[in-house]
Order: sequence, then structure tokens, then C-alpha cells
Amino acid sequence: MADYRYLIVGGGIAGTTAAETLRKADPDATIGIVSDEPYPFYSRVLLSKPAFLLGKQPFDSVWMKKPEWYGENRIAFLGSKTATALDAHTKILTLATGETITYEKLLLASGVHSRTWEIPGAEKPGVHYLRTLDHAKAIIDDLKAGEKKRAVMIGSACVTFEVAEILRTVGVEVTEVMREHWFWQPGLSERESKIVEKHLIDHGVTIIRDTEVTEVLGDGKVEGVLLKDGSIIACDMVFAFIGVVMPTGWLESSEIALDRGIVADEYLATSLPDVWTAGDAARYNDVLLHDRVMMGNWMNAREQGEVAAENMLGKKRRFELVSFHTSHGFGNMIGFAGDGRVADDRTYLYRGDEASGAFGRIIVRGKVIVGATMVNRIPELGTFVKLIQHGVDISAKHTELQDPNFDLKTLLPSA
Amino acid sequence: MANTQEYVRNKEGSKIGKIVVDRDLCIAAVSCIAVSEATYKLDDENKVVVTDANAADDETLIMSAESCPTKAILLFGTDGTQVFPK
Repeated sequence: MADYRYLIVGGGIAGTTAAETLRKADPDATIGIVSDEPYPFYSRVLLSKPAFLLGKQPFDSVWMKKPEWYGENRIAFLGSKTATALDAHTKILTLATGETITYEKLLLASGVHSRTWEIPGAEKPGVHYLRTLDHAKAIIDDLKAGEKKRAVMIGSACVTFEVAEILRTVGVEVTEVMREHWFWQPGLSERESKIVEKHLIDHGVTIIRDTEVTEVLGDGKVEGVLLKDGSIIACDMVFAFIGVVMPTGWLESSEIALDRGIVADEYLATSLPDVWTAGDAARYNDVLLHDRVMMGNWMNAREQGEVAAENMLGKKRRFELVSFHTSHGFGNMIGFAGDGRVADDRTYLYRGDEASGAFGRIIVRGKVIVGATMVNRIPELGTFVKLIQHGVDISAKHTELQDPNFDLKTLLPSA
Repeated sequence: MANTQEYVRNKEGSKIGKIVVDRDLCIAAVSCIAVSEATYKLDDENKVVVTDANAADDETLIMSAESCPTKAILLFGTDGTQVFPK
């Protein structure tokens, strides 16, 4: 039975940052990373970027750590191993192979998985997801041959937007089929979405809204999709970007508190002793937003990996970060700060000029801003992060916030 | 290296002498700007440029480079050796 002082489930940005932080502070401790992927730490962010998917930059640029990094830092990388059970009383993690590992402190940085598409025909080659490096490799291989002519994309958010541009760049016809009424709903407002949709349509993307695919057609390979209304769209590739799920099944017997993710406090400690969580899988108590949230982005995962590791080392550090991410496509850049969810307790302010394409939505709860989405207004992203972070009372500033010429920085406490 | 931009740093007491941005790798994830707004900004092509190579201390600068999801920021010591990524 293997034994580690610090055991980490998940080899992505959260888990690897945690391992690095633990190693720096505790040079002698045994550290192990269990990953269900065979690869060392790679950049998940890069997977949907054009230069990478189209092979314009070296494939090896995806690696964030070389294989030898693990040995040099005496971090055991246990790749291609899936955790199947946790017993926090005996401190034993069980793997699918039947192996068991004991630990003193455990970090669950296991991330989220692509939601599996459960319609007839979805298992055919040519149906793609994009969450892991293996998914990206399959897309790269499929595009490399240059034989694909027509793609159907399902879902409407960051990755759909970025991959749609990539496909158009190489001349693949794209039909976007979405349940939503507008692209990127509810992440963007309908007004912001119209800007994005115009770029999609101008670049030849056909948008079919308010419907869904009920079957992937074809004999052994993708030949088309069947829509709910009985119509058929011919295609040779399908991209099933239908969201993500946190696989919680394997944790149920541990009796850890779960709520679509792993529930944690502001120290990223879970309901079980000596078990922490970080990254996309964590539903943590956000002290800046005064809410329990899950944030699926790189910056959030990196910072959580560091904070969780410090708390595993015995410190008492709260996780405090207004996270953000950006998405790019068709010459547009869209930034998201804080909590972008639509909810009954929120009101919305709009900033900028839709016609110019530089337009954003500010999400207000009570007297403060909790989130912002900025279409082509990226320079303001950092200021929104700070306004959210400081909980600036903007209740008397709604008019100013909606004036695109008003300097947002003057609302900051230091100004 | 292909499309890189170099910025000389001569901050007193600093062990870092040069910041290099690989513009081909930069995807404008803007995590570096979040770490040090005083050091970086986006240019008209939505690529990161250094506005003040001496603004941040060494620790912040290393953190900004580490935060990049594509390793587009390289740091070199005053002796010319690569400090990040190692």
C-alpha cells in the first residue's frame, strides 16, 4: 500500500500548483498526484485556441510541466489512475485497479468532466468533446486530413465560440444548434449576444435556436443529425459542447458534503477532516460574493490550489479572489469577471454602445456589483474585478456606470 | 524565437534583468495583468506588452509569469540565465 503525507487527486492547474506549494514549504514530505489522465500537467486553456488546434504552434507547447519535473521535485505522478472510493476515517483512497493509497492530508482537485451526450448515435467517431488533451488530439487528427466539410455544433458558450472560428478558418461549414434562444445564454445578455451572433453569421455560421438534436445519424461514422422537429442536417463532424459535470458518484460513500460539486468553506476545507478541495470541482464559500459558488476558470483554480496547499500545511488562509476569464473569436474579445449568473436578486446595468460592438453588462446585487461581462471592453475588466473585490457601494452611481465615457477607476476606494 | 518582444529591467536589487513576451503564445488570458497591472497591458492586437519593466518586485513578476496559461512570459536573470519557465 502506497503512502503519502500529501495526496492530491487531479493533475491540472489546481492540483499541480498545490503540489508545487507543498514542496516549497515542506522539502521532505512525500507528495503524490493521482490523475485519471496519462499526461503530465498541460494547459487546458490552450486546447481551444486556433494556433494549437490547427497545428500552427508546436504540439509540445501544451505542456506546463515536463515529465522530469515530477522526479526532480520528488512528486510521485500516478497517471491513468481513477479514484473510486474514499474513506476519510481510515484515510484510504481506493483506485479502479484495486490499489489503495493512504494519506495524512488529501486534496480533491479532480475538476469536472464533459457531460456525456446520451442520444442515439452519440458514440460515433466524429462526435467530439473538448475538455481533455485526448479530446483535442481527436479534433486535431480529424481536421488534419482536410476532408471534413460540414460541422454541427451543440451548445453556446466559450468553447463553441472559439472552435466555431477555428472551423471557419479552415473552411468547414458550421451550423450551430442550440436549445437557447440566443447564443451564450445566460452567460451573456441578449443584447451582448446580438453582437456575438452578428459576427458568427457574418462569418458564415448558420444559427438554429430553441431546438435540440435527438439523434446522430450515419453508418459507422457521422453523416448528419436529426433535430427535434424531424429535420436533418447533413454533416461529418459534431461538437457536443453540452456542459460539464463533476463526477460525484465515487465520493458518495465517503459521506462528504456534495452539491453538484464538493462543498467547502472559505478555507477550502471540505466537510471531512484533513480533506480539502480546489479548482473547478469546489463549491466554496466565497467571502467576497457572500455566496457559495463554483468557478470554472484557470485563475481561480491556480489560486485555490495555492490556498488549499497552505491550509494543508497548517496555515489558516481564506480564499479571496474575484476570478475572471476571457474568450476570443472572430476578432472579438469577451471578458467575464466575478459571478455572472442570472438570478432573481440581481439587476443589470448596461455599458457602452451596441452598434460599436463594445458593450457590457454589469450585474448588481443590492448596493454592490457582483459580476460583469464585457464584450470588447477588456481594459475595464481589471477595474470591475476591483469594484467587486472592494464591495464598492454603487447604489448612487447607476447613471455613471452606464456612461461609457465615465472613468470607472474614480469609483475605486484609493481614488 | 519567432515573434518575441524583449524588455530590459534594471530595477535596483532585482535578480531579474529581462522580461520576454512571446506574442505567438499570448492568448490574452490577461492573468498576468491581474497579477501586476503596473507591469503589463494589452496592445491593439490584444497581445500583452510590458509598460514598465521595473514596476513590480521579483516575486510579483515571477507570479505574473507563472499565472500565464500558455507560458508566454519568460524571465531572465541579470546574469542571462532563464529564471522562468525552468
